Amino acid sequence: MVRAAPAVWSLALAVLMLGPALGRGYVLAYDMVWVPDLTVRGDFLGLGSSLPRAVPSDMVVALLDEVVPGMVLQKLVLVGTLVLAGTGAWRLVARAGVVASVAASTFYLWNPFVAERLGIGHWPLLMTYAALPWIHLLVLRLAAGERCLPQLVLWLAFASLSPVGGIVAGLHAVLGLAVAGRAATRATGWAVGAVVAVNAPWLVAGVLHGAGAVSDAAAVRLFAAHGEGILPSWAAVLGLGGIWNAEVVPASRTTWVGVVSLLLVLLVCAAGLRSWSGAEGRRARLALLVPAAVGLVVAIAGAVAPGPVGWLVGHVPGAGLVRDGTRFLALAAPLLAVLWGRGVAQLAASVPARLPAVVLGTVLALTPLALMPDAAVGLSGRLDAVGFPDDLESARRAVADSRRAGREGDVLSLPFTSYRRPGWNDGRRTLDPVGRHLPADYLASDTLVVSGTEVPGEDPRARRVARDLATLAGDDLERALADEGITWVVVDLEATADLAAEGLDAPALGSVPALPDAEVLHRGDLLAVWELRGHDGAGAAGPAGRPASLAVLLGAWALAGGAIAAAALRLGTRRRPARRVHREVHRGT
Amino acid sequence: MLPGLVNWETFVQGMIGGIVAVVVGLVLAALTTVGVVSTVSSAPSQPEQSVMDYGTNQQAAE
Repeated sequence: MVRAAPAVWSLALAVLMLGPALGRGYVLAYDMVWVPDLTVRGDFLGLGSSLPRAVPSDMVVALLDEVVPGMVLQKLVLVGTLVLAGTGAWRLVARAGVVASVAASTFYLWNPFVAERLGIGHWPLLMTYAALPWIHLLVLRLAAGERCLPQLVLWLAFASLSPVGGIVAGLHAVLGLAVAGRAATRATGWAVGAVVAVNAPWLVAGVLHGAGAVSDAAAVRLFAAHGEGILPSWAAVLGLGGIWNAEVVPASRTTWVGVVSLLLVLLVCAAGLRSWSGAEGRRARLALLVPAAVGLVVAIAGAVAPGPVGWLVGHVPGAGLVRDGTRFLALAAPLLAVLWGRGVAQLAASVPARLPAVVLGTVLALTPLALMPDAAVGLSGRLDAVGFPDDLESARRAVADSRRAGREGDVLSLPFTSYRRPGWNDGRRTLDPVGRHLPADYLASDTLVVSGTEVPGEDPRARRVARDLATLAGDDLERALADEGITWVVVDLEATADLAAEGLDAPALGSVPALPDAEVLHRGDLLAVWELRGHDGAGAAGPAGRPASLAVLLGAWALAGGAIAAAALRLGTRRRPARRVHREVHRGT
Repeated sequence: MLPGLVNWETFVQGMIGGIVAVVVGLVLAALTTVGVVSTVSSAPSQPEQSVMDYGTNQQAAE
């Protein structure tokens, strides 16, 4: 039972935080869109015309949900991620005692970073976050000369389901080893190799997009760290908050409770400094300090220096990954959790009588919950499980039948806007879920709108289609869409009506297109599906169209898969003899 | 210290520690109560966003 305590405690907190999201159905919140069966498709390899933002997470989910139903898989991922985060933080301070462990675990699981990233649906980033304590512990062992590279490779793979996640995990591992100096040169080299290998799919897909991988520089100000309530951006960031999207900030962070929370975190962490310095060697301290410093700098950079960061984002391919800089705050969380845990233990130990010391330790350890109570019960109702309407399944069947009849090509999802607020999702904002529900590659808008300001996307095909929708109609539009590889057009009628109600029913956005020669495959209350006649999708103008690029991309996937398989195999063969020896010892042989 | 008698130093330390712990506990309990009440009563009221928006970076109006 004692050994299970970290997992049991973390599980209790995870269930308390997720609440109704664990009920029957799917959780759709901003960028988190799970469907019953995500079909494996070429774009998930990074073959599409859009930037590989969901590589390799989409492919991993598409493969796993062939074995585990999507609904169950989503719950397992959400709960498992939080449990791993809590147990990892517990282990970080295991030597400092139970009070420190409970405090660190609670802090790591219940803080603004977790609540805000869960609210905006960045579940792959939360997987990275969950892996960081484990990666840190392995880095220390590796730097000490222990042979645990296979474990590190597997944790890096787990943490690298998104480009930013891969960078954050990679930085944590490589910086943590690099600070060990010459003694860990070889280990650092291996870690760099492992980071490159497990991130190869999105790295190569991004490189193949070339100059198209630069983003809009002006968007840096929109996505930079923001203040919360009376806390300015730098103070919000110090408390692991400061996300750009005010909609997902817990209300408690915008009141004076947020100020109290920050002050308490700083005071308790300061109290833990001495204990940490005494207990950990210089190498171990630097392995937490350096990544934390990098994380804080990147998190605040967009707010304090939007000009230089904007230049980077607008000129250097891939630099757009630092646009939403507070994602890098994950790098600072393990350090804060360790200091918080040790600080709580130190303060409790300073009380001479046992019972009051236990009371103080318990109370302090639980303050993260007390000061952000609205993170409980599905982030106070922001997360909930819902069922998909039957219309989506009918549309899926219609497209699947058409594909079985020999039609090929992509789906165009309309209205041509990125986000929706479906009534069946109780009006919660979500990335357009229709394309993911259908069994073919799809083209959706990648333009983002933040407080009415448009942030242009990077996909040239999406730009061309938006122009075609705005300027063409009838046969001309059908031909233009077919030339872009579109075979099916799906219109979300509810979203179209919502846009029209706001006066946003311009052809480029929301109005139902005139497609006189197209065949109606399905027409329900919520969705309509057309098949463009006489044209077979010519294929997207992405890396898939170039055999050499395709070969390189497949090579990158093989490299990642090979690294993971080799690590798993190595781990398996190393454990088998160990188990055999263990059994023989017990038999007395 | 005589056997069986109270160690006054330990007793006083325990008393002080206990009082500190109780005061901190009470303060945190009060903070929690007020925090929960204020959080629930001041639900975020961002300016109404368009259905097509990703979100808003304008702070909630209290």
